[in-house]
Amino acid sequence: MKSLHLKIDRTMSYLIKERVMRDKSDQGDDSVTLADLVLAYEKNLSVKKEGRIEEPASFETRMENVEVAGYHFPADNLTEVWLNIFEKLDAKDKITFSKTCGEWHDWVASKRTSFLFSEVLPVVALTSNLPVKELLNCRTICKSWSRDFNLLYAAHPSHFRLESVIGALENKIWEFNTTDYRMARFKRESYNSVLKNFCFNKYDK
Amino acid sequence: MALVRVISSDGAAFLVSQRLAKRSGKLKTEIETFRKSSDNSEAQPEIRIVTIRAEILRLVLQWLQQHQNDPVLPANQNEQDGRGDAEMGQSQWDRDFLAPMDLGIVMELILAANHLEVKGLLDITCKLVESKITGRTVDEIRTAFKLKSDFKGNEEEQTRLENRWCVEN
Repeated sequence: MKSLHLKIDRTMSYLIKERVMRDKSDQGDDSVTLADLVLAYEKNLSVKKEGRIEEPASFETRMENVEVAGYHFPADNLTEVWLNIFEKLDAKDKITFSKTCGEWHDWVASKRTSFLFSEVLPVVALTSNLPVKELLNCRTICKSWSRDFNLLYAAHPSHFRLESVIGALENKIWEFNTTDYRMARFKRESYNSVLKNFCFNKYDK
Repeated sequence: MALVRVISSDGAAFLVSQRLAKRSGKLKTEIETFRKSSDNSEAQPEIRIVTIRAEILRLVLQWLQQHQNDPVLPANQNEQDGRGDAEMGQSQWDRDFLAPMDLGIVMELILAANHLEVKGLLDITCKLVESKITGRTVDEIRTAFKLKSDFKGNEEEQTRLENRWCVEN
Protein backbone atom coordinates (compact mmCIF):
# COMPACT_ATOMS: atom_id res chain seq x y z
CA MET A 1 0.00 0.00 0.00
CA LYS A 2 2.84 2.36 0.90
CA SER A 3 4.60 1.71 -2.43
CA LEU A 4 1.37 2.48 -4.27
CA HIS A 5 1.16 5.80 -2.43
CA LEU A 6 4.75 6.58 -3.41
CA LYS A 7 4.09 5.82 -7.08
CA ILE A 8 1.05 8.02 -7.03
CA ASP A 9 2.98 10.83 -5.31
CA ARG A 10 5.68 10.71 -8.01
CA THR A 11 3.18 11.06 -10.81
CA MET A 12 1.09 13.59 -8.90
CA SER A 13 2.97 16.61 -10.26
CA TYR A 14 2.18 15.53 -13.82
CA LEU A 15 -1.43 14.87 -12.88
CA ILE A 16 -1.72 18.37 -11.47
CA LYS A 17 -0.18 19.97 -14.55
CA GLU A 18 -2.35 17.98 -16.91
CA ARG A 19 -5.53 18.63 -14.97
CA VAL A 20 -4.95 22.39 -14.95
CA MET A 21 -4.09 22.51 -18.65
CA ARG A 22 -7.04 20.32 -19.62
CA ASP A 23 -9.49 22.44 -17.63
CA LYS A 24 -8.07 25.62 -19.13
CA SER A 25 -8.18 24.36 -22.72
CA ASP A 26 -11.80 23.23 -22.22
CA GLN A 27 -12.57 26.84 -21.34
CA GLY A 28 -10.77 28.01 -24.50
CA ASP A 29 -7.85 29.55 -22.57
CA ASP A 30 -4.31 28.24 -23.16
CA SER A 31 -2.54 30.34 -20.53
CA VAL A 32 -1.81 28.76 -17.15
CA THR A 33 -1.16 31.07 -14.20
CA LEU A 34 0.59 30.31 -10.94
CA ALA A 35 -2.65 30.86 -9.04
CA ASP A 36 -4.24 28.02 -11.07
CA LEU A 37 -1.40 25.70 -10.16
CA VAL A 38 -1.50 26.58 -6.46
CA LEU A 39 -5.26 26.00 -6.42
CA ALA A 40 -4.84 22.66 -8.17
CA TYR A 41 -2.15 21.64 -5.73
CA GLU A 42 -4.30 22.49 -2.72
CA LYS A 43 -7.22 20.59 -4.24
CA ASN A 44 -4.90 17.65 -4.70
CA LEU A 45 -3.90 17.80 -1.02
CA SER A 46 -7.53 17.80 0.08
CA VAL A 47 -8.18 14.77 -2.15
CA LYS A 48 -5.31 12.97 -0.47
CA LYS A 49 -6.62 13.85 2.98
CA GLU A 50 -10.02 12.37 2.10
CA GLY A 51 -8.28 9.17 1.06
CA ARG A 52 -9.52 9.11 -2.53
CA ILE A 53 -6.82 7.94 -4.92
CA GLU A 54 -6.93 8.54 -8.64
CA GLU A 55 -5.48 5.79 -10.79
CA PRO A 56 -2.85 7.34 -13.12
CA ALA A 57 -3.42 6.53 -16.80
CA SER A 58 -0.73 6.91 -19.45
CA PHE A 59 2.40 8.55 -18.05
CA GLU A 60 4.13 9.30 -21.37
CA THR A 61 1.13 11.08 -22.85
CA ARG A 62 1.19 13.60 -20.04
CA MET A 63 4.87 14.36 -20.55
CA GLU A 64 4.25 15.09 -24.25
CA ASN A 65 1.30 17.34 -23.51
CA VAL A 66 3.33 19.38 -21.07
CA GLU A 67 6.25 19.84 -23.45
CA VAL A 68 4.12 20.69 -26.50
CA ALA A 69 2.34 23.43 -24.60
CA GLY A 70 5.70 25.05 -23.74
CA TYR A 71 4.74 24.96 -20.10
CA HIS A 72 6.96 26.92 -17.69
CA PHE A 73 6.99 26.48 -13.95
CA PRO A 74 9.14 29.09 -12.16
CA ALA A 75 10.70 27.57 -9.05
CA ASP A 76 11.17 30.77 -7.10
CA ASN A 77 7.48 31.51 -6.73
CA LEU A 78 6.27 28.10 -5.66
CA THR A 79 8.96 26.71 -3.37
CA GLU A 80 6.75 24.38 -1.32
CA VAL A 81 5.49 22.56 -4.41
CA TRP A 82 9.00 22.09 -5.77
CA LEU A 83 10.36 21.01 -2.41
CA ASN A 84 7.60 18.42 -2.17
CA ILE A 85 8.36 17.11 -5.65
CA PHE A 86 12.13 17.30 -5.21
CA GLU A 87 12.11 15.28 -1.98
CA LYS A 88 10.40 12.40 -3.80
CA LEU A 89 13.06 12.13 -6.50
CA ASP A 90 15.89 9.63 -6.17
CA ALA A 91 19.56 10.73 -6.24
CA LYS A 92 19.99 10.33 -10.01
CA ASP A 93 16.83 12.29 -10.80
CA LYS A 94 17.89 15.04 -8.41
CA ILE A 95 21.12 15.55 -10.38
CA THR A 96 19.20 15.60 -13.67
CA PHE A 97 16.75 18.09 -12.15
CA SER A 98 19.57 20.45 -11.15
CA LYS A 99 21.14 20.27 -14.62
CA THR A 100 17.91 21.19 -16.39
CA CYS A 101 18.48 24.94 -16.39
CA GLY A 102 20.34 27.66 -14.56
CA GLU A 103 17.33 28.69 -12.50
CA TRP A 104 16.71 25.15 -11.23
CA HIS A 105 20.42 24.61 -10.62
CA ASP A 106 20.60 27.75 -8.46
CA TRP A 107 17.49 26.70 -6.57
CA VAL A 108 18.99 23.28 -5.78
CA ALA A 109 22.34 24.90 -4.84
CA SER A 110 20.57 27.12 -2.33
CA LYS A 111 19.17 23.99 -0.64
CA ARG A 112 22.59 22.29 -0.47
CA THR A 113 23.37 23.24 3.13
CA SER A 114 20.18 21.69 4.47
CA PHE A 115 20.54 18.53 2.39
CA LEU A 116 24.17 17.96 3.39
CA PHE A 117 23.93 18.81 7.06
CA SER A 118 22.92 15.35 8.30
CA GLU A 119 26.03 13.90 6.61
CA VAL A 120 28.37 16.69 7.69
CA LEU A 121 27.26 16.89 11.33
CA PRO A 122 28.90 13.66 12.59
CA VAL A 123 32.19 14.62 10.89
CA VAL A 124 32.13 18.15 12.32
CA ALA A 125 31.19 16.88 15.79
CA LEU A 126 34.10 14.41 15.77
CA THR A 127 36.67 16.80 14.33
CA SER A 128 35.85 20.03 16.11
CA ASN A 129 35.05 20.70 19.72
CA LEU A 130 31.57 22.25 19.82
CA PRO A 131 30.43 22.91 23.40
CA VAL A 132 27.35 20.99 24.59
CA LYS A 133 25.41 24.24 24.99
CA GLU A 134 26.00 25.15 21.33
CA LEU A 135 25.03 21.65 20.18
CA LEU A 136 21.80 21.82 22.15
CA ASN A 137 21.12 25.30 20.81
CA CYS A 138 21.24 23.86 17.28
CA ARG A 139 18.26 21.63 18.11
CA THR A 140 16.05 24.72 17.93
CA ILE A 141 17.07 25.68 14.37
CA CYS A 142 14.65 23.42 12.48
CA LYS A 143 13.10 19.97 12.71
CA SER A 144 15.72 18.21 10.58
CA TRP A 145 18.57 19.63 12.69
CA SER A 146 16.76 18.64 15.87
CA ARG A 147 16.41 15.08 14.54
CA ASP A 148 20.06 14.98 13.40
CA PHE A 149 21.35 16.17 16.78
CA ASN A 150 19.15 13.67 18.63
CA LEU A 151 20.56 10.93 16.43
CA LEU A 152 24.11 12.16 17.06
CA TYR A 153 23.55 11.98 20.81
CA ALA A 154 21.93 8.58 20.57
CA ALA A 155 24.80 7.15 18.54
CA HIS A 156 27.51 8.67 20.73
CA PRO A 157 29.89 6.01 22.18
CA SER A 158 29.30 7.32 25.69
CA HIS A 159 25.71 6.13 25.34
CA PHE A 160 26.82 2.57 25.97
CA ARG A 161 27.50 3.39 29.59
CA LEU A 162 24.33 5.46 30.03
CA GLU A 163 22.39 2.85 31.94
CA SER A 164 25.16 2.45 34.49
CA VAL A 165 25.48 6.25 34.85
CA ILE A 166 21.73 6.63 35.37
CA GLY A 167 21.62 3.68 37.75
CA ALA A 168 24.53 5.01 39.79
CA LEU A 169 23.11 8.52 39.97
CA GLU A 170 19.57 7.45 40.79
CA ASN A 171 20.92 5.79 43.94
CA LYS A 172 22.16 9.19 45.10
CA ILE A 173 19.03 11.23 45.40
CA TRP A 174 20.90 14.46 46.18
CA GLU A 175 22.60 14.33 42.75
CA PHE A 176 19.41 14.17 40.71
CA ASN A 177 19.85 17.66 39.37
CA THR A 178 23.44 17.34 38.19
CA THR A 179 24.24 18.01 34.55
CA ASP A 180 25.68 14.49 34.10
CA TYR A 181 22.45 12.90 35.21
CA ARG A 182 20.32 15.19 33.06
CA MET A 183 22.50 14.63 29.98
CA ALA A 184 22.41 10.89 30.52
CA ARG A 185 18.62 10.89 30.83
CA PHE A 186 18.32 13.09 27.76
CA LYS A 187 20.54 10.80 25.71
CA ARG A 188 18.56 7.76 26.80
CA GLU A 189 15.26 9.38 25.86
CA SER A 190 16.64 10.52 22.49
CA TYR A 191 17.94 7.04 21.84
CA ASN A 192 14.60 5.44 22.72
CA SER A 193 12.77 7.88 20.45
CA VAL A 194 15.12 7.19 17.54
CA LEU A 195 14.90 3.46 18.12
CA LYS A 196 11.11 3.62 18.19
CA ASN A 197 11.02 5.55 14.91
CA PHE A 198 13.46 3.14 13.33
CA CYS A 199 11.42 0.09 14.35
CA PHE A 200 8.20 1.76 13.25
CA ASN A 201 9.61 2.58 9.80
CA LYS A 202 11.12 -0.86 9.47
CA TYR A 203 7.90 -2.72 10.21
CA ASP A 204 5.83 -0.24 8.27
CA LYS A 205 7.74 -1.21 5.11
CA MET B 1 57.68 11.41 -12.44
CA ALA B 2 55.10 8.74 -11.58
CA LEU B 3 51.57 9.92 -12.22
CA VAL B 4 48.11 8.79 -11.20
CA ARG B 5 44.82 9.49 -12.91
CA VAL B 6 42.06 10.51 -10.48
CA ILE B 7 38.55 10.51 -11.98
CA SER B 8 35.62 12.34 -10.38
CA SER B 9 32.02 11.11 -10.18
CA ASP B 10 31.06 13.18 -13.23
CA GLY B 11 33.92 11.79 -15.33
CA ALA B 12 36.53 14.58 -15.14
CA ALA B 13 40.08 13.18 -15.00
CA PHE B 14 42.91 14.82 -13.05
CA LEU B 15 46.48 13.77 -13.71
CA VAL B 16 48.52 14.29 -10.55
CA SER B 17 51.87 13.07 -9.26
CA GLN B 18 51.75 9.99 -7.06
CA ARG B 19 53.72 11.87 -4.43
CA LEU B 20 50.93 14.44 -4.21
CA ALA B 21 48.14 11.84 -4.36
CA LYS B 22 49.71 9.83 -1.55
CA ARG B 23 49.12 12.72 0.83
CA SER B 24 45.53 11.52 0.84
CA GLY B 25 45.13 8.36 2.92
CA LYS B 26 42.45 6.96 0.62
CA LEU B 27 44.41 7.61 -2.61
CA LYS B 28 47.56 6.17 -1.03
CA THR B 29 45.75 2.92 -0.20
CA GLU B 30 44.25 2.76 -3.70
CA ILE B 31 47.67 3.27 -5.35
CA GLU B 32 49.24 0.58 -3.18
CA THR B 33 46.38 -1.82 -3.95
CA PHE B 34 46.82 -1.12 -7.65
CA ARG B 35 50.58 -1.78 -7.43
CA LYS B 36 49.99 -5.12 -5.71
CA SER B 37 47.35 -6.27 -8.18
CA SER B 38 49.08 -5.01 -11.34
CA ASP B 39 51.75 -7.07 -13.13
CA ASN B 40 53.16 -4.07 -14.94
CA SER B 41 54.99 -1.85 -12.45
CA GLU B 42 55.09 1.01 -15.01
CA ALA B 43 51.30 1.08 -15.50
CA GLN B 44 49.56 4.30 -14.56
CA PRO B 45 47.01 3.82 -11.78
CA GLU B 46 43.51 5.05 -12.42
CA ILE B 47 41.36 5.81 -9.40
CA ARG B 48 37.67 6.53 -9.72
CA ILE B 49 36.12 8.53 -6.87
CA VAL B 50 32.42 7.95 -7.25
CA THR B 51 31.28 10.21 -4.43
CA ILE B 52 33.12 13.44 -5.31
CA ARG B 53 32.31 15.69 -8.25
CA ALA B 54 34.93 17.48 -10.35
CA GLU B 55 34.57 20.94 -8.81
CA ILE B 56 35.17 19.61 -5.31
CA LEU B 57 37.94 17.19 -6.33
CA ARG B 58 39.77 20.06 -8.04
CA LEU B 59 39.62 22.08 -4.80
CA VAL B 60 40.95 19.15 -2.75
CA LEU B 61 43.84 18.61 -5.19
CA GLN B 62 44.53 22.35 -5.22
CA TRP B 63 44.75 22.35 -1.42
CA LEU B 64 46.99 19.26 -1.46
CA GLN B 65 49.30 20.90 -3.99
CA GLN B 66 49.64 24.00 -1.84
CA HIS B 67 50.42 21.88 1.23
CA GLN B 68 52.54 19.22 -0.47
CA ASN B 69 55.60 20.05 1.62
CA ASP B 70 53.79 20.16 4.97
CA PRO B 71 54.33 17.28 7.42
CA VAL B 72 51.55 14.67 7.14
CA LEU B 73 49.27 14.82 10.19
CA PRO B 74 48.32 11.47 11.69
CA ALA B 75 44.62 10.75 11.36
CA ASN B 76 44.21 10.11 15.10
CA GLN B 77 46.01 13.23 16.32
CA ASN B 78 44.31 14.79 19.35
CA GLU B 79 41.95 11.86 19.34
CA GLN B 80 41.41 12.03 23.08
CA ASP B 81 39.79 15.44 23.17
CA GLY B 82 38.39 15.19 19.64
CA ARG B 83 39.99 18.45 18.51
CA GLY B 84 41.79 19.00 15.26
CA ASP B 85 44.74 21.24 14.54
CA ALA B 86 42.93 23.82 12.52
CA GLU B 87 44.21 26.85 14.37
CA MET B 88 47.77 25.57 14.40
CA GLY B 89 47.80 24.58 10.72
CA GLN B 90 45.68 27.34 9.17
CA SER B 91 47.75 29.70 7.05
CA GLN B 92 46.82 32.93 5.31
CA TRP B 93 46.59 30.91 2.09
CA ASP B 94 44.00 28.63 3.71
CA ARG B 95 41.94 31.60 4.82
CA ASP B 96 42.06 33.11 1.32
CA PHE B 97 41.23 29.68 -0.13
CA LEU B 98 38.08 29.26 1.97
CA ALA B 99 36.95 32.89 2.11
CA PRO B 100 35.08 33.12 -1.23
CA MET B 101 33.42 29.72 -0.85
CA ASP B 102 29.72 29.20 -0.33
CA LEU B 103 28.92 27.22 2.83
CA GLY B 104 27.42 24.44 0.70
CA ILE B 105 30.77 24.01 -1.09
CA VAL B 106 32.58 23.96 2.27
CA MET B 107 30.24 21.20 3.46
CA GLU B 108 30.95 19.20 0.31
CA LEU B 109 34.68 19.77 0.94
CA ILE B 110 34.27 18.35 4.47
CA LEU B 111 32.71 15.19 3.09
CA ALA B 112 35.39 14.94 0.38
CA ALA B 113 38.26 15.50 2.84
CA ASN B 114 36.75 12.92 5.17
CA HIS B 115 36.37 10.40 2.36
CA LEU B 116 39.85 11.00 0.95
CA GLU B 117 41.38 11.15 4.46
CA VAL B 118 42.99 14.57 4.13
CA LYS B 119 43.22 15.57 7.78
CA GLY B 120 44.53 19.12 7.37
CA LEU B 121 41.75 20.12 4.99
CA LEU B 122 39.15 18.38 7.15
CA ASP B 123 40.31 20.34 10.20
CA ILE B 124 40.16 23.79 8.60
CA THR B 125 36.79 23.20 6.90
CA CYS B 126 35.22 21.80 10.09
CA LYS B 127 36.61 24.78 11.98
CA LEU B 128 34.88 27.09 9.50
CA VAL B 129 31.51 25.36 9.97
CA GLU B 130 32.05 25.38 13.73
CA SER B 131 32.69 29.12 13.61
CA LYS B 132 29.30 29.58 11.89
CA ILE B 133 27.61 27.89 14.87
CA THR B 134 29.62 28.83 17.96
CA GLY B 135 28.50 32.00 19.71
CA ARG B 136 25.74 32.71 17.16
CA THR B 137 22.06 33.19 17.84
CA VAL B 138 19.50 30.81 16.36
CA ASP B 139 18.48 33.40 13.74
CA GLU B 140 22.10 33.99 12.73
CA ILE B 141 22.65 30.26 12.26
CA ARG B 142 19.46 30.02 10.19
CA THR B 143 20.69 32.86 7.97
CA ALA B 144 24.17 31.37 7.59
CA PHE B 145 22.83 27.93 6.62
CA LYS B 146 19.89 29.30 4.61
CA LEU B 147 17.31 27.53 6.76
CA LYS B 148 13.81 28.37 7.87
CA SER B 149 12.15 27.30 11.09
CA ASP B 150 9.59 24.58 10.36
CA PHE B 151 8.46 24.02 13.94
CA LYS B 152 4.72 24.03 14.47
CA GLY B 153 2.82 25.34 17.49
CA ASN B 154 4.90 25.10 20.62
CA GLU B 155 7.41 22.55 19.30
CA GLU B 156 10.26 25.08 19.33
CA GLU B 157 9.43 26.12 22.90
CA GLN B 158 9.29 22.44 23.88
CA THR B 159 12.77 21.90 22.43
CA ARG B 160 14.09 24.93 24.33
CA LEU B 161 12.64 23.52 27.56
CA GLU B 162 14.37 20.18 26.90
CA ASN B 163 17.64 22.03 26.32
CA ARG B 164 17.23 24.01 29.53
CA TRP B 165 16.46 20.84 31.43
CA CYS B 166 19.71 19.32 30.11
CA VAL B 167 22.12 22.10 30.96
CA GLU B 168 20.79 23.80 34.08
CA ASN B 169 22.39 22.78 37.35
